Amino acid sequence: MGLAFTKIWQRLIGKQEMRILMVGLDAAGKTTILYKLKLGEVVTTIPTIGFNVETVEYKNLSFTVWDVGGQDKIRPLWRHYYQGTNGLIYVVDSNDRDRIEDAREELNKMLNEDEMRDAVLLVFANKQDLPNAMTAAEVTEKLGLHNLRHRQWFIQSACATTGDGLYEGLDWLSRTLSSKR
Amino acid sequence: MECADCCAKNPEWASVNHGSLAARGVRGVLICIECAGTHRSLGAHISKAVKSTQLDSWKLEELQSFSAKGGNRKVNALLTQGGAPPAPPLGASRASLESYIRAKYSPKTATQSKIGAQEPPMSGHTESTDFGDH
Repeated sequence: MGLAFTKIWQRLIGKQEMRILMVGLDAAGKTTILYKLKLGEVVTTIPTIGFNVETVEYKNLSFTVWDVGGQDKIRPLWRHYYQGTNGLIYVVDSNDRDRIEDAREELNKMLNEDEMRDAVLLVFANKQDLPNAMTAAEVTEKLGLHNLRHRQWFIQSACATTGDGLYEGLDWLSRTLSSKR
Repeated sequence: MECADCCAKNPEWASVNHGSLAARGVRGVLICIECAGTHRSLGAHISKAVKSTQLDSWKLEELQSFSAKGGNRKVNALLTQGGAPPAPPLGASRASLESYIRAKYSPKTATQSKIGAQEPPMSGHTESTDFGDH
């Protein structure tokens, strides 16, 4: 009863809280995206050891975004962040054709986890400003997104340093997550 | 051991270059985490594979190719021959380090390209190994 009341109240007065997990291979641009969303600025980053977490208010939602380091030996730690995740943001370096297969494997591993069953998936095809970047369509195909079953997903081409595409992605997340509640 | 770019102590990151990108410049240096951040910001088409010596696994071939470059001093000597920009002083701003790194690692001289191109191509083995085991 108390919980139901809280939910109704949150709907009436505004901000629903959403837990967002942002992962991807190292150097995909996760931290740059996080701080571009939070501060509207391009910060200089260093490789993330551990995680960063920020709350980003957007429309009627309050996103708590967990940005977890992507170095290969620390990827097994991602699973500790799965529980309670409403939305997964998967960041891909569209300019790194050599590692797109690794990106696909890591994504599939994660989506197969039971705790991630209900999470919606937003893919950022990041670094579109770099020469020879794969298009969102190419990334879709290489990640095998069309083969996903029982998953709401969306891919957005993005450039974290200019901010292009980031809010379009959040728009989809907020629409999709709001309608799920 | 010092960072190949800013002289910080105990660098635990590496800028690796291998395979088809070898011709773009000489790589194979140990760098600190700050400079690793800068290298990554240049994009995968310029600074291929920035790896941690602790948090990433290394293929045996990557390790061999990396050590074959001869270490920081040797690679730095190659990178800076023929009028390289002067290294910024210790404690320099991130911006000045970034422009230094960009200039230092961008492909320019014929010598660098030639040396890079002589590197044997990577083979397709996938065996992983811990850094420092060899």
